[in-house]
Amino acid sequence: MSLVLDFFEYDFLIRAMIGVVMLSIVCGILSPIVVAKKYAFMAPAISHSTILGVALTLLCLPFSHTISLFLGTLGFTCIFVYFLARASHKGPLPSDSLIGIFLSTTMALGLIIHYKYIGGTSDLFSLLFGNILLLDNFDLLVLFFLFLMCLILVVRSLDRWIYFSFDPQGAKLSGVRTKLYHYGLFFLLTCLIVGAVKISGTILVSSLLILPGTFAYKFSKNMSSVFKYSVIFAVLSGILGLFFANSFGWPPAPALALTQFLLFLPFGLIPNKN
Amino acid sequence: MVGPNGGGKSTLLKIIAGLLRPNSGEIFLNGKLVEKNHELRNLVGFVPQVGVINQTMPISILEFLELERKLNGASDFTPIMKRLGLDHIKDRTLRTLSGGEKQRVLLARALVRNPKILILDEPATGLDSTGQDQLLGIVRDLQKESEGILIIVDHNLGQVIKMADKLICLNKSFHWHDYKKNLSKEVLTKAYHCEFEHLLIHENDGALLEHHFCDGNHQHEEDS
Repeated sequence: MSLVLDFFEYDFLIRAMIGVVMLSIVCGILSPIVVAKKYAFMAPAISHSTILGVALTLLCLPFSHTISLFLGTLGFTCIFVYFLARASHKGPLPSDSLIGIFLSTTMALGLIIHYKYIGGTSDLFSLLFGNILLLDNFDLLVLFFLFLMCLILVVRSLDRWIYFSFDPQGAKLSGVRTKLYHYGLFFLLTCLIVGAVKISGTILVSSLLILPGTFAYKFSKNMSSVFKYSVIFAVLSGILGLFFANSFGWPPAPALALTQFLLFLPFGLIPNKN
Repeated sequence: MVGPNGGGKSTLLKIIAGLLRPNSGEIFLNGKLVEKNHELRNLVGFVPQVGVINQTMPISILEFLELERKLNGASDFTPIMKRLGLDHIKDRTLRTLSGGEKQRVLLARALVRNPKILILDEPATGLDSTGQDQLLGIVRDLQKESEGILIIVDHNLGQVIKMADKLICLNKSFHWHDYKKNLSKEVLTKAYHCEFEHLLIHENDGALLEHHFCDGNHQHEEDS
């Protein structure tokens, strides 16, 4: 019982909980779109390029504040991701090769800069795997903006996003600006991944983006329930994950990812009716 | 619209639908130059080949058509569903439908837009003969009632010649288009044959016949 009460007693746990819930809602909304577009591996590709984003930011601003570090990383990563989005729109390469090239190149360059010019890689570990207990008010504010942006850009025109996901050509005929939505999706993913740095780290955020959608598609009989199930699954597993992390002393980000998998497992084993 | 695979039929359809810009040339509609793609998109109902629909999403027929209605501000589509025999299965998801049912759903979606130009890209592909007959029957009814334009790509030459007012035959190197009295079945068969024969020549590494460019006169056929 005291483990539950912890969440009301310690500020850092309350902040962590609020952060996780907001991040889970955003991931729950975007996840079905990511899964339907078969972009499951775009998230890790973007994640890895944040290493280069952080490296370049640290290189430009050696004594950086959290805010400038965040904005710098977001800015640089957006630039790289723009090229990824452009290449995947109508590029000549198959998207899996594209992801492989993008991921390894940006990560390699990022690591070289970290080792050679910044020195020390201790920060790198917390960048990759997050440190939710250090979440401060600024991080919560960032997540809140992300949350608002997602509501405004996605939920308000959900019909268009759905149409864009299952039939881009038909959507284009019906006046959906599919190119804008394509770039918009990459932009949202980038914001989400950079915003999630402290909660899940850049690497494990991909599990938050894939499992809720996969879960929702397994059980939904129509589109309106897909997003509902996805958000519920994401929020529930987020809360449970944080609880496990606190109870068993697990590192929080892997705890979140693992909880999602464990929650999905019993349902995942049920054969599909369709 | 007929012609062998890779002849450019789908490309032309996409240009007509305003999904692609032509590399050269201009588009005229009723004698008026079309400048913006979306002018065309608003007029067109496009029935793509069944494969383009994403199978991951569990979207029901009703939701699918409702989505189209909402985005286009169209009117009630219940009569269209009834007519295409989708009314009793409207809550089923697209991924559980048979090929013929899917094709009818795509046709219904195009009709919801109340299009001036209805385009069907190989609607009979993958359907059994009953399914093909059913679908072409519906298309023929639509053709009779509608005052708009109906463009259909199909490989069933006999059927196409019977139905169409005008035919265009596309082939990699040239195209014919004219009133159908000038375009006999024989000519059409040759357009297909031409591609086929070239294929044979390449496969036999030139052993069958000397390779010559197809300029549309089908001389090589007579030579052999």
